[in-house]
Amino acid sequence: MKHKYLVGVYNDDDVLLDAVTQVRKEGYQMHEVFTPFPVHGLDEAMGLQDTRLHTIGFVFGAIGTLFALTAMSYIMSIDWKVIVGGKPFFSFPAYGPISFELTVLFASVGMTVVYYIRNGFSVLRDAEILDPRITDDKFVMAFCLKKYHEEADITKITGLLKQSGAEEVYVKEMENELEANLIKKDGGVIVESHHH
Amino acid sequence: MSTANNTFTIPGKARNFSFILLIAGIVLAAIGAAMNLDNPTRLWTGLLYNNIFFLMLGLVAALFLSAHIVGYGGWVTLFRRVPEAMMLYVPVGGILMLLILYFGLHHIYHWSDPELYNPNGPHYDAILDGKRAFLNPGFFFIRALSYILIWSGLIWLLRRNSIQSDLNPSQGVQLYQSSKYIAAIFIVVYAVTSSTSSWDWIMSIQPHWYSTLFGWYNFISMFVTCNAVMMLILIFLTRNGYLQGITNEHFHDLGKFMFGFSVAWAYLFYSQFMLIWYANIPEETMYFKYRIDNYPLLMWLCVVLNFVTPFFLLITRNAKRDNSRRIMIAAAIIIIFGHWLDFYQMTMPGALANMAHGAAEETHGHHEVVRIGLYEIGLLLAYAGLFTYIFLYNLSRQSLISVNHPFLKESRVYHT
Repeated sequence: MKHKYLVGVYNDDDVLLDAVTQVRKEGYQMHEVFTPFPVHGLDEAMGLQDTRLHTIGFVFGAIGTLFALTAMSYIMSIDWKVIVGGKPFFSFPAYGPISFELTVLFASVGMTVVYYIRNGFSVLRDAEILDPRITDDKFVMAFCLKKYHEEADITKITGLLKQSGAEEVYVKEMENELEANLIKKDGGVIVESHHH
Repeated sequence: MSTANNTFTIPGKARNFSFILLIAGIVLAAIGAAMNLDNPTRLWTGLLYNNIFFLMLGLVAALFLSAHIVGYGGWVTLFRRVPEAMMLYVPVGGILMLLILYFGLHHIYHWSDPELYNPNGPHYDAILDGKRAFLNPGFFFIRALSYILIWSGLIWLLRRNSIQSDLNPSQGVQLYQSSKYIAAIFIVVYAVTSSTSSWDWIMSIQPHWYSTLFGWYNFISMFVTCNAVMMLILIFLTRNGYLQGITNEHFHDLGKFMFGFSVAWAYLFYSQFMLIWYANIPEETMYFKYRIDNYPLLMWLCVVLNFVTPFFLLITRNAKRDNSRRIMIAAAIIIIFGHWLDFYQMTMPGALANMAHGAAEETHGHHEVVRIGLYEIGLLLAYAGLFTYIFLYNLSRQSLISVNHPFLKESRVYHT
């Protein structure tokens, strides 16, 4: 089954930021916004929930620390005792660097894997990009047409996009569904964007 | 931003608070001193480390400012008058420092005893004789005087440029450009003198001992304290209706600094500790050995207060952006107190041991007790009061916002 998205293409991040606010003020929620670089304030403007990726990072990091400390304690003081520089077998100060490294390793690998899974990335299939120009210099706002299937809504959104500065508005069919973002429970307070 | 809010008048409560701190501190310290007149080393060392703590706090505020000037750090512009007012404590703290060093030299510093350099005398110390070219009272005072003069001079220049830009709306950019040179010189000067001054004033209390990263350790310690103090000041100012342009974004970033530099402190603590522990060379290990044997609680409490607590308190995003700022205030107070304890820990044990036994490494099996009493607490309060008053006074002398600074708008629309 094909998935249809209404796509608005913008040329400038400030215009995009204002457009996001404007569209949400009219009561429409975009499915996703794609930008070639991180745009400050975009998450707030879209009403996105705060990411939980850092919590995952902390949990993986803690697992890494515990793993390192248990493994070293077992190896150095039970399994294979070696005298190093006359120090005790259980030498806590020496475990610091390895615990630190494993904390970082577990946290970063764990976060990467979770991030990939959550976003539906896979090595088994090619990524399907909504509009290739988002990897270059265009900013794209996408609406899910499963959510807005009424003709009146589509006309209204198209109008809003054009009016807020979109260069181009079109409908795109995708093989795969775009992963949905989590929106704040209250829909997020609509933030007036900053004028740089 | 209304212009009315651009002038800071010292709130009566804050003025009284600083006076009460100062007076109560002096009274407590006087009582504490009267009870310990038989121990002049403790009295002078107490003055020394409290004075260093607040002097360095002012100095590192100048570094904070300089680093942001040189690095085009625009986000601080709204509240740059805060570190500016803090750094103006340096001349005051500097004069007190010279007085304490002059009158307390023989009570604090074991190496100042001329008997140690008499090759035929019973107290001859070959190691200290070898260090004599650097560690002698004459050169020691020349260094102390030049640090304070150079620091105060550069701080005066930074402040002058800042004031000039208020008076000349058209010269904001030129004055910023010339501040960059002053700030760059200050950073280089600070890089060298923060190390040498902490060798002189703190490390030389145990003159046999040395650690090459001692200066960095002190610098990070003060930098994180300075961030915590600025955090408290900004919360105070915004709650009193000043600096309304300061948003969660600014608090969030200052909070990240507090978190990040607490971790950096732990990194340096561990680097110093672990390398000394691993190499196991007597003249290096004696510093930690003496503290672990005699002051274990104090030593590990510093690690808990300065690393473990701020780490878990400040790790979440909400802790840094929460509008009640409860966690932030708690973390800031813990950090300030923790680093103050750390300065006690760096100075007092060594000084007391040296004066009692000749040298710290000769005190095996002798157990000291942590002596933080009325005297030390009193000094902390007195210095805090003095610092607060001088800060408030300097903050009220100029407009609260550097209105012609080229990065002011960047600071207002700041977003992390």
